[in-house]
Order: sequence, then structure tokens, then C-alpha cells
Amino acid sequence: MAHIENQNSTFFAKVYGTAARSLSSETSAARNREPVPGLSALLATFPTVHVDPGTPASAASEFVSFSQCVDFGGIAANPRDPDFLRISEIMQIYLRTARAAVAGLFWESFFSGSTLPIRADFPDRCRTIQAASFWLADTVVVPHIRAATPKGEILRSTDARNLYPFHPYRAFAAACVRDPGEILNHYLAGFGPRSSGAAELTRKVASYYADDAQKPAVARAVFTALSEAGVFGEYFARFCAHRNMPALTQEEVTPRNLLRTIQRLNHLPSATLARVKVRRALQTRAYFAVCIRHLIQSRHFFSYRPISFRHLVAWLDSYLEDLEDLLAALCAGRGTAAVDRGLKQADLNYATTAGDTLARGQVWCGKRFCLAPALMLNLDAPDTLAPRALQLVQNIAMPSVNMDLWPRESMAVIAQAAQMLKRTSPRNLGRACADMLKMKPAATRWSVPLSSFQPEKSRFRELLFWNGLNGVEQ
Amino acid sequence: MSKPQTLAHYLRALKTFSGGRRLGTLPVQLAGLRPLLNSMSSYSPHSRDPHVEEWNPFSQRPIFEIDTHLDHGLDRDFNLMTNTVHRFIIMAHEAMHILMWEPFFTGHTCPRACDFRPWSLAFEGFCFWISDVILNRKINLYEPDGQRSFERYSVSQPHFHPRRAFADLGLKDDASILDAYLHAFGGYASPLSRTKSPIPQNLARRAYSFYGLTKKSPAQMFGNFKSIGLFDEYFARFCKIRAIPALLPERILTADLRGDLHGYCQNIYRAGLMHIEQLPEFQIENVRQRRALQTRAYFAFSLRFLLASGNVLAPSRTLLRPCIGTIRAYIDGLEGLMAQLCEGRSAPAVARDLRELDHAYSRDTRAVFLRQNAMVGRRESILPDFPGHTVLQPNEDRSHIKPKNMIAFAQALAQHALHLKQASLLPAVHALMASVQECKNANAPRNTLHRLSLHANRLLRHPDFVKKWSIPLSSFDPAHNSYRELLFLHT
Repeated sequence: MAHIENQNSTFFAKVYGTAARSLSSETSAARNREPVPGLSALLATFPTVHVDPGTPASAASEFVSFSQCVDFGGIAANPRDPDFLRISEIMQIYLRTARAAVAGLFWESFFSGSTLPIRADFPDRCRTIQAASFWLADTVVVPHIRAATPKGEILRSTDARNLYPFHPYRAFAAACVRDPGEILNHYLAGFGPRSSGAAELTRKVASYYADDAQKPAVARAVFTALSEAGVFGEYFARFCAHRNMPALTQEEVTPRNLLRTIQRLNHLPSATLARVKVRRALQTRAYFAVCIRHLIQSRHFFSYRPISFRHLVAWLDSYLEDLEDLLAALCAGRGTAAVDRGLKQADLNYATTAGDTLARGQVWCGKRFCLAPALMLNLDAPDTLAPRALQLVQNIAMPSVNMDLWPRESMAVIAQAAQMLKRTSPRNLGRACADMLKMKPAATRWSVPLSSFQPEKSRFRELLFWNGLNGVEQ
Repeated sequence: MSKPQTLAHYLRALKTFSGGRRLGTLPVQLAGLRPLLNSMSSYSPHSRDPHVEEWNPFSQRPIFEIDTHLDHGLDRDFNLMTNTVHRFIIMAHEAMHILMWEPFFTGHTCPRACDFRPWSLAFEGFCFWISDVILNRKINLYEPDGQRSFERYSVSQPHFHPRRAFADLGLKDDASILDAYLHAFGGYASPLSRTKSPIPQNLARRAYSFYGLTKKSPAQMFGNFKSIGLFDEYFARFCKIRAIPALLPERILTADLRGDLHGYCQNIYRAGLMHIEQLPEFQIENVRQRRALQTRAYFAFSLRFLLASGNVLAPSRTLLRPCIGTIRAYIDGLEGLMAQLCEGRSAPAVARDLRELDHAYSRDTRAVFLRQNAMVGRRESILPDFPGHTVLQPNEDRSHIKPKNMIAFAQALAQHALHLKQASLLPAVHALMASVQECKNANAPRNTLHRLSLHANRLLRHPDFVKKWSIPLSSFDPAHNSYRELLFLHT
């Protein structure tokens, strides 16, 4: 069995088939059509991400496009089971995966080394990509799935407050706007900066997606974090800017040519899709290895056990070199099977050296940026934690307690939280906050072990970013 | 009826209902529904944040969703229609629950402990059937893009419409579908349990899981109702009265529920609703007035029980003691008015006197509760379902609880307190958690369990935690026709 797998598109296709068989009276030929020709081909280029047991579901929304991790695997289910509740959950994941894959397609020019994002454009570019991804899912994928399942309603609304499924394309249909290009304009404007003269439909899109649309401040913080980790420097130079890099398209992907670009993927030879999949597998590993090395070198970590870091950076460098060599070989035309074998060996080497050391030392990220709401938690900057002490207690420490899983550690978190709120000196308070955030139950709420990067098992967690800190103000 | 008209009627109906006046035309026509809703004298507000959903047919208040989610986004016009119709159907479903207990409210049948669960489940099956099968098919609305509303889903099923399940099973007539609902909700074999077809299978999963999930709550509710005297004193004084106004005909009210429960449910649809439709307006008014008195009596009995058993949290309980007497007087007053109503006095005249009685209650009793900031000191948690033990009562003797259950209960209390994200609770939570650990390590000897119980009490008495599980005694406010469930926690 190949080391780099892809089960996403086949799994989703099977679930989709089950839904269509259960909720349609059409013939099987009509049922098996994919929502957008080419979308399955795109999904097939993203290697499967396996999930460590116990990983919170919110971890799926932590991935940024630059890791090229688009799915969350982890759906241990029989795709032929016609339980509509479960099918609905999986189709929701399918939509999220499709949006992430489309966003990844937009960055194809970066991964194939032809374009490097610049700070000034980055927020606008992110918003454009987000708008186009939602547009494609809302106006192309969703109507197709609904048409294939006329006896039921298998897709939920994006807005969970709705009692019944609502799908944005229906609002455009109600307003007699059916031209996809015109709808796209409303999406692009709706996800963009607020404008008082915007059309009513644009304003409605903006209002509907107000919680999802990425704020410019978040995009800027993402850019900064990625720059600091070297993603736009060393990573780009060593893992993207190669001649003959396998790519899905040579053309710059824009919202206007997005649909056409995806449709063209259906005509790409399977060998090309396989080479892009292997490219992504190498780049994903390089991305995480670069991030880990950055966190180690800048000492943005904490560990529960004493650990020797003497060889760690050297092992990471060695792993990165292996990946670079394999990528160069792929670009030079070596077969995917040979690269796959080489990658398996490199991953095993990593697992027995750096991976093992990080796991034994229980090393965790000490600096992570929360995407929503925008918030940086940096244990090395206790002064920035002190003003948020109460919020951190209420939103990280208190909900983290689990008496069944960590009875002693949970007690310690509560004791520390109760104790630290009595302190008055901001400096002491900041340090006490950092100590509390390092405690295991609290750490699982905002941080991640560096050993969650397990390339030999295709298991990844985003290291620089996280999601889901409700209740803390920016 | 065109769609704007329907919607306007519905919105007006909701407004009218909230204001306590009679309903005009409904968006979904069903024989007996309009008079049934008009016979309700109050409603149970359902909100999402904070989550309050106090389901209890014995208070005779149908649940009514009060939240509005109407922003200016793309979904506004769609939500306006589907959400309001949804609310209406739920309200009708809940009103049906109250109707099903009409033999109790009119003094014809009093449930025993062994009856309570099967009756409750059968009534649930009936109410789901009436909303899924009967009311849903009468929704004649089109959403703004021309799609027929509630075509691909129903109020109870977001993924499909139950009528498709019965079409797949070949069940066409309403009576046989009702029979399938009654069997499925009661946990018996039915056409739904034998199918391999996907849509009926999904409906079966829902119905049978309801049966599985409701093993505990009927017993909890029955126990509390019994403790306040609902099935003896309340039944004798407020239900079993000659010529009490009733919605259903005598032959249905006197049906043998123990012998033929499903037949009773079938009869409600076959004959009961049509009978209600044909009742004269004054009779509906009388039933409405009956409910007004019974609802008040139900809550007054609950209050009397809490005060008499010392389950009240207040700075000075001595100052509350006279309230037991004033509540008794209030109950006597209600009983007197009920007797007059049953003897033929007009509903408006009874309502006038009731206003005075309520006013006196506000002045003599509720004012004391407000001054004392008195809170309910005992509530049984239906939702969330606490493991081990479900009574939240700071002065409870828990020596009868098994150590394993006591530890599970205390741990769950601590977790719930932590989810409130109130830093002020930390010391009490920490002490309780330490005590849980001590019990686990010491294999729970009697003295550590006693300490655990004391720490649980300390947390339950904490003002920031009391807000979570308790409510003010003053939330019984009959002068404003406003009530909260005193005995149960449903949030």
C-alpha cells in the first residue's frame, strides 16, 4: 500500500451515493455525477490526513491553506449506512473540505513557485479566495447535491441559528439573479470592505457571512506568523520555487476562471494528479517541519519532561533536506512510487529521531495565534497575558477541567486559577497565567504538542494557529 | 389563501396569542385547533439563550418560542416564513399534549405511577403524528424562491418529511399511520420497526430513540407531582368537580385509558377534535377560565410544598413562614372561584374576581418573596440529566445515595459550575473537586461522603450557582399571567 493515500474523494462519493440512493428515485447513472466536474480530481490531489484519537473537532478549522491539509479524515463510518443525521454531518464536512481545496487551488501559483504573496495584498487576497470558495460551494455544489436528493434536505445551513436549512443560492433565485458571474460579484463585494453604496444583495451576503469572513487584522497576523516561521522565505525557496514543479494549472487562478479551472482538472492525466498529490505530501511535511524548527529555535515551546535539544534542529534539518531531495527528484521526473518509498523512509527516520524526542519530552507550542477571535497567546510575553487573566481563567482554565481524564491536573488548574486571581502585581499575574496555560488540561484548549506532527502516520495538527476561544475579547 | 395573507394572519395570531386574547384565523386549518388554542390561558416561554424550555402539560401552558432571529442577511425572508410556521406547529403540538390530559383535568381519570410513562409516550406519539402528518400537509406556503415550504423536511425531521416514510411503507390512511406512531413511541413493534427502506428507517430511529431516552423523566415528573399533591388534593379540589367545563365529550373523557390507550388517542382525532370545533364560544371561554384557575392552583401547590418543606433560599426564612397561610388562602380562593365556574357563573365574572384574588396574592405574598429575594431551594433536573442523582437541594439528606452515585453527582455539579465560567465559583468548585478526589481515594467511607455532601451544598448555595439552577419564588406572578416551572429544571 502506498504511503501517501487519498481516501477523501472516494469516501465522500460513496456517502453522496448513499444519500442520493435514499432520497432520489433517479437512475444510478444520474446519481453518481459529481457536484462539479473536476472537484473530485482536485480533492484527489490532497493526501488524507489521519486523526489522532482525542483530537478536538475544532482542530479541523485550524489548518491554513499553506499546510495543504484540507480534510479531517477521522470519519469512522460506513459510507453505505443511510442514517441521514450522520450523512448530513459528513456532507457538511464535504462542503468544508471542498471550500478548503478550492482555497488551496488559489495558492497553486505559490506552491508551484511562481508567485510569492506580499504583505500589502495578503488580506485582500485572502478575502477574495474565501469569497470565491463560499461562492463555488453555495452556488454550484449545494444546488447539485440538493437536486440529487429531492426527497430530503441533507445539507444544513451555514448559519446554525436557522431552524431549517437555508441555502444562499435560493435567495439569489428569489431575487431572480441566476447568473453565476453576477452572484460572484455580490460575494466578492460582500466579503470585501464595507461600502455604504453596496447593492442590497451584497449587503445581505456581508451580513450572512459576517462571522465567517476573515478580518484583515487576522490575515495580517497570519502573514506575520508565516513570515516569521520562514514559509515565505526558506520554505518557498526550497520547496516551491523548483523548475518543472508538478502543478494543476499554469494559469493564475482567479475567481473568474475558478470554475473553468476546476472543470479542466477532469481532463488532466491521472499521472499528473498523482504527481501533484505527492508534491503536496512533501510540501505539507516541509511546512510542519519548518514550523517546528522555528518554534524550537525561537524557544516558543514548553515541555513536561526534561529534554535534550542538542540534536533536534540537526534532525529537523536532515529531514528537510530529505524532503528537498525528494521534491527535486519528483521535479526531475522520478516516478511517484519511488518518491513515495523515499518519503516513507524519510518519515520513519524523522519518527525515530526528532519525532521520538519531541514525544518523549512532551513538548508543546508556547506561542499560538487564535484565528477567531484574533488573539496571540505567547507564554514568553507574560505582560500580554496579565490583562486577560480573568478571561483566560473563564474561557480556558475552567472549561478545560475533566475530572475523569485528568483528576489531579484538573485540581491543579483550578487551584492555580483561584490562587492567581488573588495576585495584584501584573508581572506576577502574567507569570501565573503562563504557568496556568502550561498545565495539561489548559494546554489542550489552546496549544498542541509538537509531536502531533507524525508524518509516518500522516497525522498533522496546525502548530501556529488555533481556533475556538469563545468569550475572549480581542 | 395567498402566501402574504397567510403569513400576516399567522404573525397576527402569534401576537394575539402572546397578548392573551383570542385567536382569529390560523395559517394551518385543523378542526378543533383554533378553539383548543383559544382555550389556553397562558404559555410557557421557550428561549434559546439562555435556554429555557419548561415542558410540563400539567401546568397547561403550551411551549411558545419567544426568540426572534431575523437579521438582514440573505435568509431573512426565508426564516420569517419557516420559523414562524415552525413555531405555530410546535405550539399546536404542545397544546395537543395538554388536550390529551383532559380526562385528568376534568376529574375523570387520575394516572397511577405505572400508567404515567406509557400514557406520556402514547400522547407524545399522538402529538408528533398530528404535527408531522396532519398539520404539516396542511401547510400551504411557498418560500420566496417558489419552493413549497416544509416539502423536504418537517417540524420534527430536518432531513426528510415523515409522509415519505409512510408512502414507502404503503400506509395511506391517517388512522393506520397514527397506530404506527403510537406503537413506535411506546416501544412496541410497528411497521416502522420492520422496514429496511432508508426513509422509514430514519423515522423509526427517531421514534424508538425517543422511547429509549424517556425512561427517567416520566418517573421524575410523577414523583414531584405526587409530592405536591397533584394526584390527590389538587385532583380532588380542582379537577373532580361536577359540571367542570371540558373540551371533550363525555364518552371520550370516560374512556378506559388503562384498557385501551391507543383507542383513546384514535378517538381524540376521530371525534374529539370535531367536537371541540363545534363547541359554543362560551364553553371555550369557560375552559379557558378553568385552565387559568388550574394553572394558578398548580403553581400555588408547588409553592406551598416548597415553603412547607423548607426548600426555600432566603436571608430569613422566618419572615416567609406567614406566606404558607396566605398561599393557602389563595388556593381556597381559587377553589371557590372554580366552584362558581362549575356552578354556571360566567367566565368573565369569574375572571374579574380572579384578578382581585391575584392582586391580593401579589400584595400579600409575592411582595414578601420579592423583598426577601427568595429563591426556590429544591428543583429536580430533567435537563441536564445529572448522573447519580437529579435533585438540586442544598439542605438535602443524601445519606441514602450510593457512594458511586454521590461521587458522580458531585463531579457533575462541579463540571456544570465550571461551564458557567464564573471565576467567583472557583473556591467552592475546588473544594468540591478535592472532596470528590478524597472520596475516590478513600473508597468513600461515610465521613468523607458526608463532607462531599457538605461541599456540594456549599456550591449549590453559592449565589452565582443558585442563578444557574434556581429561580425566584416571585416568578409565580399570576397578576401578570407569568409563570416559571418551580419544581423542575429544564435548561
